[in-house]
Amino acid sequence: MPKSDHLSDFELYVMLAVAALEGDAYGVTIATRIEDRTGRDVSIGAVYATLGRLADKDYVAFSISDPEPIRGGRARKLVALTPAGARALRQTTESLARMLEGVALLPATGSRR
Amino acid sequence: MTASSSPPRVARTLIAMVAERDDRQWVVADLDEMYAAKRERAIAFDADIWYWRQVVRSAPPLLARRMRPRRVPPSPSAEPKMTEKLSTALYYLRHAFRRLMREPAFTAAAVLTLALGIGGSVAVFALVEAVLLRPLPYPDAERLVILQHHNARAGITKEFIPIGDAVDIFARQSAFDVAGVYGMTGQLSVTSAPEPYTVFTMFATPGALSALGFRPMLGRNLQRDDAPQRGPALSVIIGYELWQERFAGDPRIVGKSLTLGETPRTIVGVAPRGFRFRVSQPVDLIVPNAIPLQAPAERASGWAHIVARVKAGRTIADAQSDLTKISRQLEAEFPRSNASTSYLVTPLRDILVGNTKKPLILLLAAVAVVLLVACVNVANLLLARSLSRRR
Repeated sequence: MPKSDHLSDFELYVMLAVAALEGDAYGVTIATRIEDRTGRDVSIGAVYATLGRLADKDYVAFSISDPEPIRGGRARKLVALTPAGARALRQTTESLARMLEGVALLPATGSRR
Repeated sequence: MTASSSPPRVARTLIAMVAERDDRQWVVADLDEMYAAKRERAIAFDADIWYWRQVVRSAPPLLARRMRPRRVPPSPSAEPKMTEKLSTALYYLRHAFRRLMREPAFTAAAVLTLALGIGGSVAVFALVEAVLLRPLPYPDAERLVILQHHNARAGITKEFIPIGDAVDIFARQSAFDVAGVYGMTGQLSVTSAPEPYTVFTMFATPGALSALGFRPMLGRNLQRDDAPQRGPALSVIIGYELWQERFAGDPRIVGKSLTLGETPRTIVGVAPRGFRFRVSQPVDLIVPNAIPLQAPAERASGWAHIVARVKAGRTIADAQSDLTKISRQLEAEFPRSNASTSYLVTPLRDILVGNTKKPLILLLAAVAVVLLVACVNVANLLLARSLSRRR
């Protein structure tokens, strides 16, 4: 059972990446997608730790792919959203979208906290 | 891609160690894949740096995940007290670990302080252990002594002793089981090989070898008649290392011949592995040495280094008073050569350690203080942190 349904921003990124990659989501593609789109320096360890947490909450599930049919091809641990995960993602993004309505984005200030 | 384009091995092992068992293979394989892609675009060095960065930055989240509290399944019986205690201990450990991860600056400061203190202490203790504490590689080594010649008028203490005095001391002394003369040289060459090579040679009377408790691992020991009074000695014992290196450990080496300098000599035995004396270099060859049966008229016509084994039940001080008595006799009999001369009995270890003993112990004390200061500093850090929490 999850402690809370709240998603941290990195968890949200990972779930969005999983949703977008549809069936081709695994460590490398998730890390690369987040890096490319957010400019964040993503470590593979953070991706795996987050996926583990999301699996604890029953938001994602894993399957092992067959090895690629090329020389040196390997099996992959693929990630997919579970129905609960898809629901949580929709809820979070919808609330985010509602919260963004009518907001004139301020220029970023120097302080982070 | 060539076979050499594999990621840094140490880093790869590290990441495999920190990852959870279920994820291990996938994390490593994913990193390999990304590394290979980097290698196609960047030089090896940059890719390696990237890999190391990945490993360093992956470790905290992976470790934190491994340390996460897991629900302990309810125990089926009232019995498992031990596991309960253990899981409580584990809980506190995890809690401590997570708090440390949350405050990296504090953790780094504490770890660094302790690491410096402990590292310094360990390094210096290793030195002290090697120099002062580790037993010398001879049986009953604490009974081994070196004789020193001391001239009070010149204020000189030296290890080489006029041969005449050496012969008389051997004849008169009563405190030693055995005593003998030895010498070392790195100047001689084995010329019977296709390409001559220089060896580290020890000259020793059978008494010197027996004082050291020397036993060959192959063949026989040196005997008195191996060393003739006139002419070169014709037998030789070969060191284990030389035997392995130059003779490929030939098990039938005993009886074969070897030319040292210009004299062919018969190999009569092989020294045990690692046999050495006075210097850290293993002895390559042991050549028998003879001393005159009677003290020559010209007492300083040769020089001898003396090693002796104090009799069981006699102390170094006993041996010293024996030698002092003999020194006085010799001084009375040979006033011209032996005026103001006395002989000192010094334990082998003191000779080897020389004057480094005091500095070493001082250094040890110093690093112990550094360790103490490190502990106090960490205690301070903890105190400061808990105070800042209360506020």
